[in-house]
Amino acid sequence: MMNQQLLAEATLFAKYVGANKNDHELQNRYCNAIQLLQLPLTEKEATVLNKLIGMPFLLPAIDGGYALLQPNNTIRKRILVMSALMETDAKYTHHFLVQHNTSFPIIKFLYRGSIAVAKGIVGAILITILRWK
Amino acid sequence: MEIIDYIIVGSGCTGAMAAETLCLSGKKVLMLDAGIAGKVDLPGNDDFVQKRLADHHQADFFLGKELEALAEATHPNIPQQTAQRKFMSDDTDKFIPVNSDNFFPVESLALGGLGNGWGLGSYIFSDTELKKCGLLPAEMKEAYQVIAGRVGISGEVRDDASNYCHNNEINLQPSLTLNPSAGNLYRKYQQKKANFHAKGMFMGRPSLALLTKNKDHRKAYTYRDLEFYGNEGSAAYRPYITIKELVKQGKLEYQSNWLAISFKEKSDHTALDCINTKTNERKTFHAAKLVLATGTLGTSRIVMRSFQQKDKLPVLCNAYTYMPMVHWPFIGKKNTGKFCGLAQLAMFYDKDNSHANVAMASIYNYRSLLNFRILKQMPLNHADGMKFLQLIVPALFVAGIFHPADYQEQNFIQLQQSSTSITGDVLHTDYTYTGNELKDITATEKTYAKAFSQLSCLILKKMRTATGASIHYAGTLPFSKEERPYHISPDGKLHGTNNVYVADGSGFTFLPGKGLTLSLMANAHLVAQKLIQHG
Repeated sequence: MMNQQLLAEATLFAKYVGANKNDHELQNRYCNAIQLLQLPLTEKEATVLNKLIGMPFLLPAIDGGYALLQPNNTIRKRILVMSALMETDAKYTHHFLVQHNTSFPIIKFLYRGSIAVAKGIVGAILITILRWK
Repeated sequence: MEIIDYIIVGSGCTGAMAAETLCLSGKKVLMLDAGIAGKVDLPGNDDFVQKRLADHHQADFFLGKELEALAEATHPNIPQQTAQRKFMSDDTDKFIPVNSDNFFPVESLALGGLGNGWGLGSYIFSDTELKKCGLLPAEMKEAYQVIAGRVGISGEVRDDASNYCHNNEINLQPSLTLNPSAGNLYRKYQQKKANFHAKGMFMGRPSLALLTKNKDHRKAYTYRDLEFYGNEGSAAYRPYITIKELVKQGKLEYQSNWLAISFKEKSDHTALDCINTKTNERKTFHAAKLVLATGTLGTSRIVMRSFQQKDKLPVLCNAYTYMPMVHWPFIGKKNTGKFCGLAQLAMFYDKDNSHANVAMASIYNYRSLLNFRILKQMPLNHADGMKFLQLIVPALFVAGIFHPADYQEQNFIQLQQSSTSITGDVLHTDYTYTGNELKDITATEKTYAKAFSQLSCLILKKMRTATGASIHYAGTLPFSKEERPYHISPDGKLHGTNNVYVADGSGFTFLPGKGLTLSLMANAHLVAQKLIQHG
């Protein structure tokens, strides 16, 4: 029987990285991957992850904050596993390969970069205030 | 007791070339090797894009059935290994352990050794560089031609970099078709080349041991962009190609699962002690002539164990800087066309135009290693990072800069006893960059960063990798005309022995800031040739 906590985590991360909400196959692959790869969470990381499952809107900022403050955080490593599984799923190839020239690429580049950096700064402040590091 | 004419230890690029030359003598040649084998064939006919769009089992291929590509890297200098190439580093911790705080060499016990992951860059050394290495230019020029004829090298006959790549001393197949973004970068360079020449910088097409035309039983490269996952048609030269062919022709006997430990000179031959890597059985082989080609560090281990007079040797290793950058004009461009993941361009920085202290940059596009590997290193959240990467990957270049290396007093390798190691020892290494060498490295990095900026590239990061990441090691047993212990004579014979020869880079007394594999192979051929001549 699938670990319910792990499944909740898989659902959270799948939605976060842009996979279909009901892609149970991807979620199951994630659960199997985590069991195989052995990426154990520290007590603190487990507590933070539980809170993020309850407050998913915080995940982009917290992930960005960890990217700045604690890049080797296991929550980030686990999100990366979900990203890699999604990237190697033919359904999601369009998220990764540019099949047609993008319009206004430099504007999008600057916009995407700025948004990501802004979320990271907000996340870093939150992590510090909440003592989630 | 059977005494074999020639025993070669090691199956990498140097072992393979020494074997091919020795096999021509008609005498009995045995190659002993740990010989961990990998799979080299690519399944199906899909190219990278077709596979990505249609293969529903592509995760097994790209990540590995055991998710090897996602496993935590235990070695700091092999962070981006594909599942298919993992065999290259299998069992090295067990049989050839290294202990260091600052030098993390990459070694291999695979059939074909590190040649399985060679980037295929095939560059000659200039006369000045050869002399600094302790090699004879006239001999090496002939040897370069022989090796190029064997492995097949593609490249540009004449461009700004040709003097540094091959100097028209070797036969070339036509160079690869450039990826669109690399073509654009190259055009930018050509528009500004007078400025670059004034600074001692020259860009051109790299010479690669990759076929663009069929050769013997090997096929030309097909632009499937899956070269990190297999070797379709054996288009890329790998040492196993030579070894399998020699074995097939009955000219070479190959025995795997043997790790050479040490040798003892007898009156008329050399006894080589080995451990079986499967059973731990010990066995002694006997050779009229022994050729060590296990790579600089492997050979040094064997020599230190055999002589037991000295446990500390000097070592050379190129510093390596990794510079990811985005070529502005290609941000957000279509990224599904014909593509190759191997080096597209080569740039040479020769500040005094002397060909003596060149620092070379190999310039790659990035696609088939997948975005998640870059995402891991980006200081961004994953969701936005993925969207950001989708835009920049079509424009992404990675420049790998090799810096020249001279002997520095503080750098050494040392064999220490270890009760936990199967061989009873562990290689302790210490390597740092200090003083003028460090200043030169920093100045070269700045010069390259400025040059790439002038080619419409935004430098994302300058990463001086952990020491050892260049995978270029040499100089532990320097060439010397005088009979000195722990030195090699110019013909490759290990001083203090009658029958032991070294065919790898252990004797090189300098490491140019270039790819060195072609020179290693040429030297191995020369060592074998002289061995035959000496009877």
